[in-house]
Amino acid sequence: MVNTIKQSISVREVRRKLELIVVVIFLTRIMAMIPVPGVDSSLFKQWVSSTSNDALNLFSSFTGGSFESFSMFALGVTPLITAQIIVQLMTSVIKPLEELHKKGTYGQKVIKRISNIVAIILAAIQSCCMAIGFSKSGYISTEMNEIVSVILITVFMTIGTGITIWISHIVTEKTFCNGVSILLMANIMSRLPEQLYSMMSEITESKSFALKAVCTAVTVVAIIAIIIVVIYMSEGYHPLKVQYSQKMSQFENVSDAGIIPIKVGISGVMPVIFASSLMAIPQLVATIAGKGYGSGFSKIFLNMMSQKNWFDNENPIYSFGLLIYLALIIFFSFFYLPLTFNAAEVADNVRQLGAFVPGVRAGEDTEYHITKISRRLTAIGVVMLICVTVIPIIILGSLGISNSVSGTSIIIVVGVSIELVQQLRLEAAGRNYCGILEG
Amino acid sequence: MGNINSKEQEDCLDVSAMTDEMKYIKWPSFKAVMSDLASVIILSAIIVMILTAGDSIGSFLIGKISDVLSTLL
Repeated sequence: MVNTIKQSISVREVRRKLELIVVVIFLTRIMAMIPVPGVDSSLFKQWVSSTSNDALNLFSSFTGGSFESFSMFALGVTPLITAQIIVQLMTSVIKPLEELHKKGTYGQKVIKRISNIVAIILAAIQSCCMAIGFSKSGYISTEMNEIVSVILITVFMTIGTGITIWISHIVTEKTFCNGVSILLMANIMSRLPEQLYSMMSEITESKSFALKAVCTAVTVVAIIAIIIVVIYMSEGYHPLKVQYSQKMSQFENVSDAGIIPIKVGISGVMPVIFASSLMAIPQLVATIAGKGYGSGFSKIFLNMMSQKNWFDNENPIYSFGLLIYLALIIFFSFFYLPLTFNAAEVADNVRQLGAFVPGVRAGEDTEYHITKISRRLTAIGVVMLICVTVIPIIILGSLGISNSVSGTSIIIVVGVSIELVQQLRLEAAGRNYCGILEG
Repeated sequence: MGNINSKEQEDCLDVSAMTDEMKYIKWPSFKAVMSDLASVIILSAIIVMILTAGDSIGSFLIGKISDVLSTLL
């Protein structure tokens, strides 16, 4: 790692990219503290700290605590994530969007623009609902007229979200990382040490020294095990063998062979982000509306959405929430697959290079073959993803600990860190390779 | 004729789908995993340091700006 950083820093271009990432991570903390002008959020802060709710915990975690301080960046990148889910779902329903999706780079650009617009609209709606809900409940107070304060909060929070989206796109375009992932990781990590500390103190509370030591060791080993599984998931790959035709080969009479690596965890940690975001929406709406969980079906449904109720022995029906969560992770893993891995494009590249997959006909057959491999690999990836997501929930839930640190947060942080390290290594290796050629 | 071709094609694909080659996954070595684990820990520590610096500088700046604004207004 130290060598990778040294090598990367020595190359000007990579250093610039790293500097940009550091500046963005640094800025996210400053941004989280900028309040909406004219709003006194001290009551709101007290209310958030006294309200223990999975959705609020997750939302606070994803926004790096800016939600608690009712900052103008309180929505973070969550509207963009929701917009991406909506637009991608729409591509399979609305024909013009489907056609755009097939148009390659141009189509992707247009879809990205549509996602941005939808994200801004969502941010405006979300911030308006928050302003109305929280000011009616008396959690936020201003010296202005209620209508003016609602407009002010909506405008500033929407602008804040716009700036966050813009920063995330800059990171994606100018560096080797996904902007949304970097912002999410920075936000989650800003609260992770504090959350880990509170979790550890909850685990070791009123226990003897020996038991404390054992509990601490088990927790550390569990976290390391999660990290190792995520590493295996992101580095395991299937080497798809391709054979180059004799014309394209270096030697006239011998055809070269090569491999195309197809990763096990193609969709990465995005399915977990999508699933947990979707699970949090109903609870968040109910919390903002200030009407609690209600009664009857709505109460059962909202309790089902909360992780801490999944192991409630008195209400086993709430455990269905875990099944919904698993189903959502599986759904999003396969749903997100064609967006991150385009089998048609890979098959086309193979054909253009004058290569072929041994035993498979060129064209549609190759595309079908690659799609089938990617689906099998995704299935293995999903099993690993479910293990690292659900096992911590089961352990903490059965111990009766309100999980302030969710497996989701750890997976996102580890997944993005590994991606960052891999990209850094690739960049450093690429530059060194160029150096050798030049030399 | 088209149907016969598509059936042949399906059979061919089924045969190719069953090969052991497709099931083969190359996992990283233990050494590589440990090196990545160390990288994740070091990177996390660096990021936490940047975030802490951002937190303290941010709260200092916001405090100063609100002081200036309160004296001006």
